[in-house]
Amino acid sequence: MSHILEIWGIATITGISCSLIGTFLVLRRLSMMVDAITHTVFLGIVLAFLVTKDLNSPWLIIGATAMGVGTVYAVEWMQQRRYIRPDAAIGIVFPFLFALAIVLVTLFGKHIHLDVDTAILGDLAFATFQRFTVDAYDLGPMLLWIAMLVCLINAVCIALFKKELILTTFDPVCAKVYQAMPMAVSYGLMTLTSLTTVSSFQTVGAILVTGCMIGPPATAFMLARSVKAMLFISMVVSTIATTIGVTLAFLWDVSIGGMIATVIGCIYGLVWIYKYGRNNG
Amino acid sequence: MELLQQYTFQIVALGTVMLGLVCGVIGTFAVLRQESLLGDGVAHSTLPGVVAGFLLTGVKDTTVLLLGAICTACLSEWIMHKTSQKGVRFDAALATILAAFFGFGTVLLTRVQSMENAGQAGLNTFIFGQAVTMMQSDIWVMAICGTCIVGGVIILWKELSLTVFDPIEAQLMGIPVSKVRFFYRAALVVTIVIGIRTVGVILISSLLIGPAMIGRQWTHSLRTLVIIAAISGSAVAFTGTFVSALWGNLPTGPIIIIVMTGMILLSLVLANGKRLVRRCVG
Amino acid sequence: MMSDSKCILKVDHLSVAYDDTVVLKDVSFQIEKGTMTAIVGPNGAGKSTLIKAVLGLVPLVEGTIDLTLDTKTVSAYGGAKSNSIYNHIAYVPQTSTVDWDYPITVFEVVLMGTYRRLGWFRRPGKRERDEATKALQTVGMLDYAERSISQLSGGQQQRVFLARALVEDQEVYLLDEPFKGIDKTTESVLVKIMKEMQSAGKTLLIVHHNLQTLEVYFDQVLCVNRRLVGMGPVRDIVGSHILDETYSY
Repeated sequence: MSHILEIWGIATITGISCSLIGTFLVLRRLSMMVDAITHTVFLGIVLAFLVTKDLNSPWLIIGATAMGVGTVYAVEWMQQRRYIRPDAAIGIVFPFLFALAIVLVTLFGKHIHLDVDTAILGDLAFATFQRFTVDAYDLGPMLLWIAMLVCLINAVCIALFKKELILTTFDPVCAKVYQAMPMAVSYGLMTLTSLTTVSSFQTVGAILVTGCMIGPPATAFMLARSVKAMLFISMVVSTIATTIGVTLAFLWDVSIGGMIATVIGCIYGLVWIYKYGRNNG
Repeated sequence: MELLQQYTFQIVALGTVMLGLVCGVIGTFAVLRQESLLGDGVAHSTLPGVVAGFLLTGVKDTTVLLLGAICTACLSEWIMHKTSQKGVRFDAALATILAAFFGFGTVLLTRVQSMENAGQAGLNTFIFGQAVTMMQSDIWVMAICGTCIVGGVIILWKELSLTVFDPIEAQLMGIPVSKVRFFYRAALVVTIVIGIRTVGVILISSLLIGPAMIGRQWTHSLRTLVIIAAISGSAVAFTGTFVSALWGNLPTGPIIIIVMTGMILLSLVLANGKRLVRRCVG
Repeated sequence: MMSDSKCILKVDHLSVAYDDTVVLKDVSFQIEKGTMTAIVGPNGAGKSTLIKAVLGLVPLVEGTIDLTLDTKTVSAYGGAKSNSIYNHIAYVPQTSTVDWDYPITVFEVVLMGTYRRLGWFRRPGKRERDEATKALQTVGMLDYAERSISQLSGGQQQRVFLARALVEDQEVYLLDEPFKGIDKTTESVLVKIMKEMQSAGKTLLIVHHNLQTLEVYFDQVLCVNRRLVGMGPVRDIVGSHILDETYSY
């Protein structure tokens, strides 16, 4: 039983930190950038691993986070070229970086054990195996502590820079006039996004991070009238979805991350029907 | 150069070249309609269809899996279009639906893995594609689909280009916009589904966008753009296939994408140089 | 009218380029305190660019901008990254530049005007909220304070932007086409507010399109077409060859 509870805890906290960041990403129309980052952090992990030869090295997290920010930089560089639209730039950059990762794994993968399946899908069921112990005192699963730490970092950053985040997402030109350094704020946000993605990697898996990060805020966007409300609603949606998702996954013995993403999608659909369904007949 | 005479290589190269061509043609319209990432969403959404096809029939028959893929791809494409309106962010809707479909696919996949007759080839094949296993029957499927799509684009050229550029004007001129759009959407879904087998889910978006991006650097005319996209799409696909076969064990899909990105960067630089030269001379 | 003819904004040999296309070349002019100046010119003449250059949104290739305030003079130079000048200019962008689907209320938008003063980490308090309320009252939008911005009409959006600029309480205001796409009634309301600002000693530079209303609204006109074609009091410019020259390519 405590096994389920621990998994539920990890998933809920991950979901909350994803919603916090995701709200601003949805507002800035960067939803698909998350999809890109979730794929490219894999290259960061592979590269860091090839250098350190250690799957538990903290350099893996640093490398992956840096690669996430690098993706944003590459996409922005491409967007500034002639005749390249923002969405097209995203659609070129991330497959390229991901393809590089796959080629590297194929070339050097014989000596290493980097399971692509797990990286993409994650495996929440095994998330509780690695324990966090102090003096042989079991303080719960390691991932729970990591998730809480990331959640705390996100919450503190958003509390401190809420004003600037809203300003830069609503009116980037004015943010520049106000000397609020929209570029710095933007890259800060993307760094947090990468960090959150990397830490959620092992729990829900790369592609489903997109669902956890964008789904609840996208749902809240349809309902909320202020950013504060949007943050709140998306955290609630995320928690509900995680609870239902984890329960169903254990009941039917299926992928936990997958179930959570499915439930988020269903909630999104229901809210959409509630909000717009009538007008569309 | 013996490689060129090998039967397997010929099959694979033929398949990827056809795919590159069709992707170039259809992808151009997707990019112009600012739906570059729709392809990515649709591609991810094929997973539940593929797995459900396997779950229902219990056999790994290409036709069944393809049909399943088309079903869920169409469904998600329909939902994405339906939800994109004022008050909803298209990119957010796309990301949410993509993740939900893919998530549901993994849910089904875990069901398959827990079954006894686990005849599944693993998710790897699906996500990364496996051009090497292409067979003659696959080539036929691709050839038929490709001919239909390219032929359709040629026949409906006038209507399609106007619909993409200015749907309201097209409507006023009596063009059945919704029918033309239906053809385009169906063609996009079919292209993606047949493409997944070769380059996989994640990389297909590059194959759709890349050729159009290369073409756009060189021309302002839609006709020339589509032609350049088709040629560069197939050229890149052939080069990628050749390089990966040369090295033996390198996966075809990712190599094609890397070649594609190289070509894009090259044409960005060259086109920029061309502009500079023109400015200096003019 | 301009008894206190003190020069507040001095632009000297200003040139701006995007990539390597020169958009504005060698523009020099002086603006006196408490005036209302129209910037006119055909599409693509560099009107918005001029405003953005003064705001520091686009880098200057060459030239200087001096801003003389009561207590001090601040300058910006071409090539240098001097920012202090931009802290004293308020900007009202075109309404089309922001995202009107954003989940935010009218009051919160107006409150943004205080953010520059607050700087990092500080939150708006009671004083800032009072200022925002006052500004909303000035533009006649107090009843809409708690509305979501997505429900506003074009004219109301413009009024909200003006209120935000009012809250900033700067000496110089730059407005980019404030009368674009709004009806006559709203336009006269906006002009009335601007006139009030002017009599309170503020200096306004406004990108304007309607040549018919030049004489009614403005004191002087700045004619721009890639360069400064001419500048002077409204009655000297209107009907003169300078306007024709500005609008001929």
